[in-house]
Amino acid sequence: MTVAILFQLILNGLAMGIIYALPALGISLIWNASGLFNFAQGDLLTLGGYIMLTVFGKLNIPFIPAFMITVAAMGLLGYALSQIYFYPMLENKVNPQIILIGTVAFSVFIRNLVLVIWGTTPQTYTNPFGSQVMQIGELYLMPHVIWIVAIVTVLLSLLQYFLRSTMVGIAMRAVAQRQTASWLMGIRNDRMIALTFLLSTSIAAVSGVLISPILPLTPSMGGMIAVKAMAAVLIGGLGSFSGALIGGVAVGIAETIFAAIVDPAYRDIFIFGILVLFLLFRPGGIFKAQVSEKV
Amino acid sequence: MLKICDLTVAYSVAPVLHSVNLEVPEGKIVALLGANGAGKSTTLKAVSGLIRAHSGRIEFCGQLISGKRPDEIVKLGLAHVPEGRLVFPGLSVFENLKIGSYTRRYSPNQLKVHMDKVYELFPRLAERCTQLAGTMSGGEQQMLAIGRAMMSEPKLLMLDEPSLGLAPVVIDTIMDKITEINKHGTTVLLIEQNAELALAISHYAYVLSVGEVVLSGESEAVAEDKSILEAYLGGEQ
Repeated sequence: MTVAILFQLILNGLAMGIIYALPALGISLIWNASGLFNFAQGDLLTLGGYIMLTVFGKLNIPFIPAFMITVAAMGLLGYALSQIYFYPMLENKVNPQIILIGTVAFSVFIRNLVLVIWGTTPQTYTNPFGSQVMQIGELYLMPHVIWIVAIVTVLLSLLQYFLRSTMVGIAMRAVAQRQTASWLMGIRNDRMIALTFLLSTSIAAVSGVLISPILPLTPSMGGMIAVKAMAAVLIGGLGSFSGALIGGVAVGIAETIFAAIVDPAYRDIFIFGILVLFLLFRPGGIFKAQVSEKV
Repeated sequence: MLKICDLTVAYSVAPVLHSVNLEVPEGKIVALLGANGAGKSTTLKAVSGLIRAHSGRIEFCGQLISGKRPDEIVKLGLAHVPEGRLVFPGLSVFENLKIGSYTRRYSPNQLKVHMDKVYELFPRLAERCTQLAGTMSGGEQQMLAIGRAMMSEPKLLMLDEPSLGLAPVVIDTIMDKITEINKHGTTVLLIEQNAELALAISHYAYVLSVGEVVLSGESEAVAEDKSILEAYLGGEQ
């Protein structure tokens, strides 16, 4: 294998890994804010992809407004889910395991809703980033690879700025750490948790849109992506944002290289084998979440 | 300033507070004493809206606040420094202070003015402003918790066991600062298990035992009543 091919594989793996990193980030956001694991994250991604299919592929609305409509619709859904389901359950101190089963139910519900509305046939729409292969030196690149990396870099920088530097962002992190104290600061915890869900489902929608040039849409596509995203979260460190990003990218690159040099059929076994090793020998992941539980 | 009338609070079925009456006059330091489990923290939580009163009225500056949400109560100028300090461990000192002014919507200039006031009160916090709060010592965290509460410019500052788990030297500093905050015009309601400390700096004191006020009066008078204090607060006082 030449260096050029390896570099090519790393780039393709990076694009795939970023797709995993986004739902992984969503999972970590929700985990931090509410201590819950959201099993529906992958199916929310699927739903985002299909909404884009209708808005962009069928209604022919231009890409940027279609993208915004999709993300906004999914954000609203996340807000509603939080207000109708998650916050009331948290407020009534329902056992987290029971709330978790509810997210599995959402996952099944969304998957079947997609199936009923859009059918089972795998679907695609015109690649919005163009399908003209670009050649840079010895590298052959699809334009969407560059676009995915660029869009996600901008998105993550904005998210980072929001969480670090704005009052609302700091309040979101405060609620994730100490809910009694955040109430005493005058923060509405219910609204902050709803905002976290809104952000998390919007991010899922972004990955649902960005994945379309790589994979055809099927109602069950979110399932495998969610499992990879969870592997990314656990490898990176549950609750850590940089861990979610690096875990996602690592999973994407590792599986792409493995598929190319060993056998694509064993790709998932390889990734989950690594996950098992992590759970056995480094259960906190690469980056343990920086928030300590109690002083 | 703060008036609590016939406050009863019950967790599940058993009542924790039985018609507690308590008054905090403007400009004073009022101590609320009592042994572990007497209901001191519960009283504060009911005032700041963290828990619901079963019956009774709580008034703040003439306004009925029982039944209001915590954020509404903070906006009225009532700050609560909770037991165990509860600083945000993963936020820096600066971010902890900034979030203390959440309800005030300060401009960047106003934010700086208020933060400088807190730094003047606790110079240690200025030295540590970029450090994560969770990595600081107990005394520094207590200073931060008080500073964070002061960022909302409260009319009434309620402190729940600020001396808990701190070294004697640090406790002295904290008590001095509470007196200083009061001299600058903030009314204080101080909960303490350590009666001696609290009586030394407060004007009035209430003693709570098993959910009822059993003794109240000027702190000097209460301090003289050694036998009663011992009976309600335990032998160590």
